[in-house]
Amino acid sequence: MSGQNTGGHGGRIEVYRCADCGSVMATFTVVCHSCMSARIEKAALGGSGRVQTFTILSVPSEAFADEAPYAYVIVRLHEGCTVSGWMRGVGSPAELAIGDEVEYSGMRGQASVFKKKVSGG
Amino acid sequence: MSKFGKMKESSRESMSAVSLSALNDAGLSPREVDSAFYSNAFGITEKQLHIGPLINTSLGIPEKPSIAIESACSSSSAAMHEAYIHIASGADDICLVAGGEKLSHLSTMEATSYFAMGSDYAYEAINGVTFPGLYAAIAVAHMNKYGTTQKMLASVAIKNHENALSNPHAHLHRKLTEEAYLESPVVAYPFRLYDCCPFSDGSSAVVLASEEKARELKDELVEVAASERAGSVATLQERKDITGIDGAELAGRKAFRKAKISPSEIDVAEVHDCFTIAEIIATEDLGFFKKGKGGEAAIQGETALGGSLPVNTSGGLKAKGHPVSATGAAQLHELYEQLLQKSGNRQVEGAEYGLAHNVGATGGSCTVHILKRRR
Repeated sequence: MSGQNTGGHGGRIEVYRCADCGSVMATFTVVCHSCMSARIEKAALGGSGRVQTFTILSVPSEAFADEAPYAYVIVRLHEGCTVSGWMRGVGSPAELAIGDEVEYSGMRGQASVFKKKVSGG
Repeated sequence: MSKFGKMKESSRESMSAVSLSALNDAGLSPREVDSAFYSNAFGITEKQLHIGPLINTSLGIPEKPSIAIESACSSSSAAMHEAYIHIASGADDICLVAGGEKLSHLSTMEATSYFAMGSDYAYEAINGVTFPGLYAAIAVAHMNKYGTTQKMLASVAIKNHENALSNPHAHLHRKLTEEAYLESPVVAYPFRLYDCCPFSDGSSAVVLASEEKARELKDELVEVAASERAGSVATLQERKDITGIDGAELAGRKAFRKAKISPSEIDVAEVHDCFTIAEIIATEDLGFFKKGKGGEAAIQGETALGGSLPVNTSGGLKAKGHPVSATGAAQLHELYEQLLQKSGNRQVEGAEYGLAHNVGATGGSCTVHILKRRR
């Protein structure tokens, strides 16, 4: 089974690393998107990054029906790839902006949960 | 095409009816069809797959080959492309293309869940994002990078609702004001209800013939000047830039090259406006306006009837409705009528070239057709 976060890596985000050129890819792949090498290894990340874009869902998806409003974020990790994430309790665009620092904080179901990074932390 | 909206019939019944009507319009009997290409992406919600032989049987041609083509919201334009290849290769003289969908038997939550399956489920939907949410994330990025505003988004919705008023096939016949737009509930920031296309039922069909055969059938013809497809990374997070759809840009470039014309020569365009931002980025990806200027063009009326390039004269997915697999063929239906000067109050006078842009999901699959009036 493939997915961003299936729980198989101690709750960390699963990514794919090219054994030849070192590129890191967030979504399932059997070749490296930079050098087309087929030597792909699984790796796990769990760091922080910056919000690349986001939305705030007032109408939730089925699995999050009791959690609205919440944010869906696309996060550029400092470790070098871009992942999807879920943020609890974000209700208005005044609370989140592109470029904000966020950090990975575990799973909710199979979602990757992010929180705003406390400054200085 | 059928009227879009809520239909009593099954996809099977509706697609059979529009297919027969398209064949009749072309002066053909079903027996003259060489191959049929059908799309019914959400047929499984009606507990039916393998719809081709059912429609062929209802048309009295069970012996003819058929295939069902799924490419999310771009299914029937992908089917059209396959038919085009069949004819261009010389394998067939006459092909039938039809797409249809029934969604009204589903609750909003059920339909939203099925639509999410068109995204990268294990990476996107699993993190709580819906389809409107993905396009909303594109809108947030576009607003941040180019200064696109909520009022620009609203102007797309208002224009398409206005256009739909004169389209008898449209789902929504409701004039939209900026006040009503701003008062509608938020779905996924920055989208309000009126940024989103409705869930619609409906069907549409196209008959495609070789030039030789077409000339025997009709005096007034519309030529497929280009039928091109391309793709993008399905998962938004993996794209270098999500303020455009690179597959749509590529399909557009290939189509203009094939038709030997430039974007400025297009007289009328039907583009994939499943959400307001999608129309804005489509007009940029296709080269009608510079990157980042699509919103400004919309609010200034450039894309309205009477503007420099009328876009979505049918009302678009936004107001004509979006019965997923019917959409691609319905766009071609609108262009066909425009190019033959049969569009009534929404006619673009003297239109010679029309372009249809149809996107699957957030742009994983993209089709661009250029149609040309032939006399």
